[in-house]
Amino acid sequence: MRAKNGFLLVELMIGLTISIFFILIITHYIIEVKITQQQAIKTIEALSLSRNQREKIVAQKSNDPYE
Amino acid sequence: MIPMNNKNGFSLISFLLYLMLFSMVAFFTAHIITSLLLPTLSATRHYKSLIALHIASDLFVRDIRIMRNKPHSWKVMALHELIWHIDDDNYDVGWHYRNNRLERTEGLYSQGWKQRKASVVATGINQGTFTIESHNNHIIGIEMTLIPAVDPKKTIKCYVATQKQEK
Repeated sequence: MRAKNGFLLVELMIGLTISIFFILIITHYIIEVKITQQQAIKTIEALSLSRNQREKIVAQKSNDPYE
Repeated sequence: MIPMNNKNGFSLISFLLYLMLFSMVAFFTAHIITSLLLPTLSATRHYKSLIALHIASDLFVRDIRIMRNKPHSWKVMALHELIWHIDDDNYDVGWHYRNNRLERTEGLYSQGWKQRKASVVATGINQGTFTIESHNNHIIGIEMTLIPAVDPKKTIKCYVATQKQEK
């Protein structure tokens, strides 16, 4: 922003606003990734738990001669 | 920084205003980085390593399910190591925990690996154990327990039956 008579305050404000906007967008996306991973972990843990239960039932049934 | 070249100079008020706004932006950026970005990035790495361990347990379950659908025999059953033989295809598969890593090995085993292809399935594990569940001298299930280094409280347990369900 070279100017013989200085720079306008409006230009400075616009520059600052754009930089803050970029910082916020980047932060927003990183937090979004974290939330998605959190949800994925919860789903994976639930699926893992249900698979463990299912496998335990299979193990008991394969062992039970009366089944 | 924005160059402020000016042949006629600039007023002290403009300079102070600019300095104040720049300081505010710098402070705001530093605040966001320290309070939001750094903890979020560390949490992301944490979740990533937990997901990797769950993927490793999925692979283990897949291997045992392949094994239980074919005639097989056990070669090694230890706390940190499992090796079994697939009779049809005449090859051995082994899983072991060593040096904070979970490894899968495939090849020919006879008192040691004669021929092998090893791959690291997961890293960053504090403790990895295999627990055999048997009934009347008959192995019915295996439980793999992984304690992640990033969060020892989040123990990952994965149970799998070694005999397929009779229909």
